[in-house]
Amino acid sequence: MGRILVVDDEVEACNVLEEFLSAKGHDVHTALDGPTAISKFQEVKPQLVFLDMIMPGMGGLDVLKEMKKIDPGVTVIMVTVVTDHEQAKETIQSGAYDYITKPVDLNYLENVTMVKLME
Amino acid sequence: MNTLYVIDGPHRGTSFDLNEGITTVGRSHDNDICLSEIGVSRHHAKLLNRDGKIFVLDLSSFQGVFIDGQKIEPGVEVEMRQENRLVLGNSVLSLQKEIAGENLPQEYPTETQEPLFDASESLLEKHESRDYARTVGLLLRVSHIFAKSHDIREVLHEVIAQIMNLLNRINRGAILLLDKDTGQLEEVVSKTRVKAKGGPLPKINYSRSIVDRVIEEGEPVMMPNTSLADKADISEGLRAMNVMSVMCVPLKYEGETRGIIYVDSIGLPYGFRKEDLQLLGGLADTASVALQNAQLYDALKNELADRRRAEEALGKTGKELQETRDMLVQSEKLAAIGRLSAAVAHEILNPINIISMRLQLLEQKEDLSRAVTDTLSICKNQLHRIVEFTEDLGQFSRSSEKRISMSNLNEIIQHALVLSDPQFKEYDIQTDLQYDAALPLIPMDKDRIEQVIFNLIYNATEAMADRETRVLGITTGLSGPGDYVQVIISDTGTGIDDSHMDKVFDPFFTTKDPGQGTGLGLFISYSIIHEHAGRIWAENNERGGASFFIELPVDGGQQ
Repeated sequence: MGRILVVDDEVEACNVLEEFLSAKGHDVHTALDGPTAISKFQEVKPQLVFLDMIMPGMGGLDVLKEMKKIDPGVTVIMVTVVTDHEQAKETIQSGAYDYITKPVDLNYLENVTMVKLME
Repeated sequence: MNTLYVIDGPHRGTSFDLNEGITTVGRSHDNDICLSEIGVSRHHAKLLNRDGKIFVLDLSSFQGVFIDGQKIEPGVEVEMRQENRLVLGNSVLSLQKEIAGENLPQEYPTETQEPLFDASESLLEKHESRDYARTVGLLLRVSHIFAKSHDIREVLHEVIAQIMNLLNRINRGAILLLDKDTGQLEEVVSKTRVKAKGGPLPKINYSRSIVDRVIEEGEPVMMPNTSLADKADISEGLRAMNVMSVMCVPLKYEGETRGIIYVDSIGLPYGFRKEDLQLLGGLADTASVALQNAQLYDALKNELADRRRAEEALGKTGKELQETRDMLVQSEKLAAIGRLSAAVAHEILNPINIISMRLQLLEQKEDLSRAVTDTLSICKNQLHRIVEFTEDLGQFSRSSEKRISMSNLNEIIQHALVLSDPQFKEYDIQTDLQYDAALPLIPMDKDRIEQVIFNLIYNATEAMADRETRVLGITTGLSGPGDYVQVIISDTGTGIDDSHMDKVFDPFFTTKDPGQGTGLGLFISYSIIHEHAGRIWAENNERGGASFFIELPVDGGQQ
């Protein structure tokens, strides 16, 4: 189906999404920090990225900007806790397609994925 | 050398050395011996030293010269011996310091002078004896007035009234005070009894010569009968006014003459006696004290008023300072809570996210037993509770950038009511809305204020759920002098327990059942209003429920 990159500093969070999306037939890659995410992004050239907002070191917003520089057409969906609403809205201005809040509703995540990959 | 001792009278205790030749005695300062007292004429007598013997000569004085009670003939030199008493006016003089074996009588000159007055008063009614009790009564009354009143005009008015009452044959009485700034004597109060044939006497024309003398010398003047007085003492003015008797005493305080009390009689001589002068002098002393008191009282009153103003200003500043400090502390607290809650929400939501997604994955598995799906459902519900709580917490950690715009509180309330409509239907709630249509637009973060209004409406609705009457009241208007826009949200619920009143805005304070509320709603409302420099408070209302008051500054708190 599609190549998806999941970026989250929580390994368990990466694992669940990888398991869920793989089960739906996607090619899922994961990264636990910003720099790894950038190199994986260049290597894999994903169509869709789920990007955690708050990570130690390089944060989600910086990673987003870097990815948009490399591939302006890529679809990046930010994953955030509710307290980050304002900041999440900023990411839209920086080129993110959407943001979803934790705890993530897997049905919604699947729908978004389907919609974006069908385009 | 011979020495003349004053053994009684106003100058008692003083002594004068006599000249080898002539020594003059009188009230005037150009005398060798100056006795400044009323009974002494300007140039009263001469003492002549002839071969060591002292002779006295009366210089046609008004009250005469007495040696051992015997009036001496004016113009005739009479020898004065060591043991003799020489009386001039009220002064008793002797060549000895003390007169051995003799007690001085208390009323040395008056008896001897009395015939003088009486002789000239044949036309007057008989000199009634003004008894002691009456005099004391007057002084007591006046003292009482002084003690009671600090209005100097009122006090002095009463003094004159009492004097007129007691000295019932005087025609005019007045009190004059020296104006501190101009140095002029100003009449403060006056009373006249005589009506001249054409009408009332106008103002008193004070005899300048007498008034000036009292002011200048600071000593009383008494002229029982001006027709018998020393020519030099009587001004043309007195004669022209037909003033027959005059008494004038100084009002002294702090050693200075500050005014006078003046009384006179017109047409007929009064025949004042020594007691009258003593009485007037006593009143003058008392009035002086009262004047001083009144002045001190005024000064004290002014000082107190100044101090009170200063204290009020200080108190106000202190209060404002305290309020500002409280606001700062509160802002700091809120900021700290914001930082903390962001961290807490993040730390809680990340593991919750993982658990939640795992549960969702589990749910999607086929062939799950009923027990497992029930358990999963319970787990999801409990997770939802935690998430809701962290969402409440998250209110504090929102980016601090407020979206301030000029907004109409009425519109915000209307919008919140639309959102609340499903709940109103569920609980069958009536609304009683009173909007002030003239409400000004004020700067505020619309979304956050709506959140507060919505929250208060929600609480009100819940409080009324089990009540028979369920009326939600919302009133808007300007409060105070129009500095604040006010909204009151009232319910007919159960009200707020007195012991809870000061806690309702505390974080995590809730009276709801566990799981029904986090205790953050009102705290969030409080912090939002606080951020707007507004006020929020609760009161119980007459209908048994609670009323919440919100006031937002019209100027957005930008004084």
